[in-house]
Amino acid sequence: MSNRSLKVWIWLHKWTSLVCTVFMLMLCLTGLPLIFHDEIESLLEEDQALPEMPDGTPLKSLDEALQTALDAYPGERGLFMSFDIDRPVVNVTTGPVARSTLEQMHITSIDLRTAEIVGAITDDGIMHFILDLHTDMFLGPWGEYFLGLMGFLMILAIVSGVVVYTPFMRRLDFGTLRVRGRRDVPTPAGDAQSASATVPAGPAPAKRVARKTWLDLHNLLGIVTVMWLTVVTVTGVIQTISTPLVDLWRWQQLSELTQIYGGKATPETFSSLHDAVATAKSASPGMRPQFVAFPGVRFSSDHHYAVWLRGATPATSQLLTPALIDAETGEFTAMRTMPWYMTALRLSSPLHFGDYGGMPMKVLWAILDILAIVILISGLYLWLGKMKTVRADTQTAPAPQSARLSGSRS
Amino acid sequence: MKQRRVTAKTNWQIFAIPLFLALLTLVGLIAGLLGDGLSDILSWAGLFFPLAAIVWAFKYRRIAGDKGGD
Repeated sequence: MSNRSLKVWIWLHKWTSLVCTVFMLMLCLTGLPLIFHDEIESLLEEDQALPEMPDGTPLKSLDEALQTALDAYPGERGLFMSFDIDRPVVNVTTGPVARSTLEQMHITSIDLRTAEIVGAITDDGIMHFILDLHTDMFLGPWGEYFLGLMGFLMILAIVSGVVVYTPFMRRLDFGTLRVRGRRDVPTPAGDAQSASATVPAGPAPAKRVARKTWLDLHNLLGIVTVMWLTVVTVTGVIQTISTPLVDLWRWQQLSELTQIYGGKATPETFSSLHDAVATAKSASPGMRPQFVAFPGVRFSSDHHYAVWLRGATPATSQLLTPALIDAETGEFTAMRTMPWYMTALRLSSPLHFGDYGGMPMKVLWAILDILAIVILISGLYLWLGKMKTVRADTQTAPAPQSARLSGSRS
Repeated sequence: MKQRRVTAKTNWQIFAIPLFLALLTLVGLIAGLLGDGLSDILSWAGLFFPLAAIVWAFKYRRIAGDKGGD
């Protein structure tokens, strides 16, 4: 590598990092509790345990559960039903019309063993606050796109960082940490008289070694975690464009569906929801329903229940397959697979949050997150230190940093 | 204390270990997605090795700063 191109890479690494560092620090700090959001939420929430029931209590039908929710909000119709993973509870969303706004909607959680209402889901609380800060800094879609841009700069910083790593390591073994040896006596601080007696030319040796230690630490942590950093950053950037991606998908799906079933209006009364879910399940062995969209709502056609099914593994549980069930006759109509960009979007979520491999993975994820914070701070420290060094060196010698770099063969 | 290397390293020598650790990380990240149980253990191992490399470096790759090659 020529000296000039190395200088360009160093410039790129410096500026892409500097611009995004503050935001990356915020993301790392807010991301840390988010790794454990399941555990923290279950600690914070008041006891939401379901009442004790004998094992093997038969479950009521989904139609009965739906009726409970409709009775709670007279005059409204069913819009969605979602299924809790770890307890026999369904959540029914109701609203006055098919395309109700979020403010008009009501969510009712129903115990399937009794078809009675259990504690409702709340959307406020500290974890929700942290997630909002992490996602868009309370600035809505533009905040999201902005963080996506910062993530893009971070990707450039990672790539340029790997390039810049090369000349530093020409003469060092992997993982070398140059630390203060026994012979380096720390300079006494705060002794004004002795300091004025000997004016040091350039930074004190101890300081220079400290700088090498930070540089080696930055290099070591950076190169060792580079794959994890890249994956988390890239998947984070993908997450920031999730809203437009879902909109695109919905629009494509919807135009396809209306082309095929365009003529059919929403039926007056719907066929059994329970049977529709059973039909969808039998059409796709090994999959579980995540939610049902009722006829006329956004995630369905005017004439069908859309039963959104997911697989059993961490990867396939992210991939939703809608099965369309005729809401008049109760017959199975069609199944749709997700387009590639939705697959990428859905798979990027677990890879970003690290919540797909149990507690040991969460702990490893948290350690990696903390290391990322150390990388960011050490990078900032090295930049600040260099600013000082360069200022001091303008009166004495050329900056040791650039001298070292041009001396290395690359 | 390690002796200072006289010859400059090739790119391959510089990146052999980082590349290996990156591959382990990648295997770990993907294995966790594919299933539970054994593949979870594989994913923990994949993510663990890069961290182990850091601990190893702290223990065995510390040299006095004034002797280090630069």
